Amino acid sequence: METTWYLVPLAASISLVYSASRYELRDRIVQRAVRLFITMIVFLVLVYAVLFLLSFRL
Amino acid sequence: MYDKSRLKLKNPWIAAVLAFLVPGAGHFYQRRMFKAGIYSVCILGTFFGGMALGDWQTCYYRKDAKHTHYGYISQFMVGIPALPALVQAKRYRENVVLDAIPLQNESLSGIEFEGIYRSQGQAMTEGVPIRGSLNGQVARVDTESFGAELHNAEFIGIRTDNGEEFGLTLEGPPQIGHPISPSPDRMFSCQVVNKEGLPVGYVDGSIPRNFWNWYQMPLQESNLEHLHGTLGKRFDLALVFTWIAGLLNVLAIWDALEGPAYGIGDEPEPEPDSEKD
Repeated sequence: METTWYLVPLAASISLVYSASRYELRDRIVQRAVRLFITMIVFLVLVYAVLFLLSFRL
Repeated sequence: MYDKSRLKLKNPWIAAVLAFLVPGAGHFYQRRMFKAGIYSVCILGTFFGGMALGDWQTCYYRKDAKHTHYGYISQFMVGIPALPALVQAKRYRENVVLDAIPLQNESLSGIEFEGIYRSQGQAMTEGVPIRGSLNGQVARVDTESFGAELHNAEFIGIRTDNGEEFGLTLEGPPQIGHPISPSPDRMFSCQVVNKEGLPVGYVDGSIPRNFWNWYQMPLQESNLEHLHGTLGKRFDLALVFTWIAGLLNVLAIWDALEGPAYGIGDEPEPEPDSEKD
């Protein structure tokens, strides 16, 4: 398996634990975790795209 | 700052110690079940996920003149799952670094072997892949030297390329890895003889090492090279997983001690900055 895919469960884990350490209520934790997870994945995809373009035909 | 009296943290110091020892246990003690579930599943999942990715060799404690594994500071924060590394580092130092005599009398009976059989004159790239079990004894010749010999040793198994049954008589001084080492595979090679006792070839491969003799043992340069060679960047990612698991547990410990950082979660959202308009 391409190692990049391992970052998805890692991002999910970080989002859940970080959000759980910020708030107490279940709904708020889940809501924040989903938002943080999406932000992280979008950021990672952007970084991946930039690096892919920079290394194109190298 | 929110109203912390709304939280029932019981004895926060006990909770913090429990949270350190087993991720989620502190919150379980405080009856904060949802958080206990998140912390235990996510942190232990990340830690053991990293261990599995790195062939269960990513967590180790090593501090010597050649190498210091600073990543263990973070791994240590996962608690009990990472603590065997401290015991194993002590065992490694006492049994391998300080005592250089690697061989003891030991039985090979029933031990699985996997490797290559090469007849005399065959090149390293040739040979027959074999798998099966060993019988016999490894006896140390004398306590002052590294010498050892095999008694009544044989291999019984199959050729893994075609499944054909295969048997060999083993003799001579074996080369056998130290019982304690970071790798689950223990090197084993020795001479093969015919019925007249004349050498006809040799076997080269490995036997399994006892779990507690390799798990979380301090990795040496050769082990690191081997892991980087076989796993590539997956090994680095595996290390990162275990480090992040430890850092995440710091958040969990702090939460068990002090409660959540921002609030309960039902507080009104802060007003948007009016100066923007």
